[in-house]
Amino acid sequence: MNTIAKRALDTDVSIATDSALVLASVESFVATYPAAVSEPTVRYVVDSARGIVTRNGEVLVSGFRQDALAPFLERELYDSVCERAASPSFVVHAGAVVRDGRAVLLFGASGAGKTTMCRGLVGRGARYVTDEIAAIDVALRVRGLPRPLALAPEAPPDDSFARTLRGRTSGYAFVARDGTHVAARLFALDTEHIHDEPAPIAAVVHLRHAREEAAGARALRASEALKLLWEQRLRAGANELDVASALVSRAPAFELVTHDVDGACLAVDAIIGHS
Amino acid sequence: MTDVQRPTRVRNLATRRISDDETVVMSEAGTALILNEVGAVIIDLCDGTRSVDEIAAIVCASLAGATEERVRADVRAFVSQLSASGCIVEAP
Repeated sequence: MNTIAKRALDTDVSIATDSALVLASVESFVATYPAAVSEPTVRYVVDSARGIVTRNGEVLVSGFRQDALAPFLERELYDSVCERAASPSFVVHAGAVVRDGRAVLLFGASGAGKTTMCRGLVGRGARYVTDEIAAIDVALRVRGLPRPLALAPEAPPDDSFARTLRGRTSGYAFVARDGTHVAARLFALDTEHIHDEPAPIAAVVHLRHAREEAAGARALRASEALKLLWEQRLRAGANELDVASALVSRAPAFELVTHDVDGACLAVDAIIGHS
Repeated sequence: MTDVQRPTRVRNLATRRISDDETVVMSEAGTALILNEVGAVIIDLCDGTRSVDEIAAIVCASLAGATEERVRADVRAFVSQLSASGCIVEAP
């Protein structure tokens, strides 16, 4: 058995497996998580021969194909650490980056451009928090799951993002639940590009990719921001409404209609600069 | 138009008054609506003890110059929207 121990949203997690394939895939998706700092409280064991995954001794699945185990583990790990982070935080489907010690929260529906914007902003000197799962605490600071950034399959292996930033690319191939083969490439940023401490939120930006509308940012009313944030919440938890309400009443909120990543990143830079 | 006759708010429906004329209601399922002052009054009245028409009558009495027929139609449409958003259900 090989064991990986990482820290994810303040939860120490270990994954032990007898499979080189599962180990390589797990290493790909947890590469940018900091190392565990104490005895893991969530312990996964993967028995690849029998397709069994256990969490703290409890069997979660059995009979899984080996190439489906890693994506299952990834989802399971997200669920598990989000649930633990939910109280007293507001856990939301959002990206976040930090510039000059202040964070901007980037949220929106899947496909709105969170990952693309994080890549663009990190390429312009911001530090990466997360592109997917953010936990906001009662002091209105954000932490996140700093998962490796997905590169588009069609992007050349030496695309400008990977060229200008320090990190490493790895393949992440698996068979999805519906039986389709998925090939992704993940880019694990070096630690110098990652911000893994809670950061005060300077602004909240709702992303919307809409070619038919004029690109640009407009201020959101607090009610609009709360509605949109709530629609992206990931886990129910104590205090979540108080945290979300405080956030929209104290941090300026914007809707950013995007056309291209460069223009959108300039708009976000301006928002951070003025917030 | 709504099929709900005697509406009641779903369990764990959260409401947060943001300003004098805006209240956000948020369901456990993750849907959210922004309500104006009248909308906030209506959802407050959706406690399972009143029919939609009784709610419309209360709202109509509080609005100067409103016709009962018009208010009833508006309240029914609004209750339908609340139902579609998962904020209210038929009272048991």
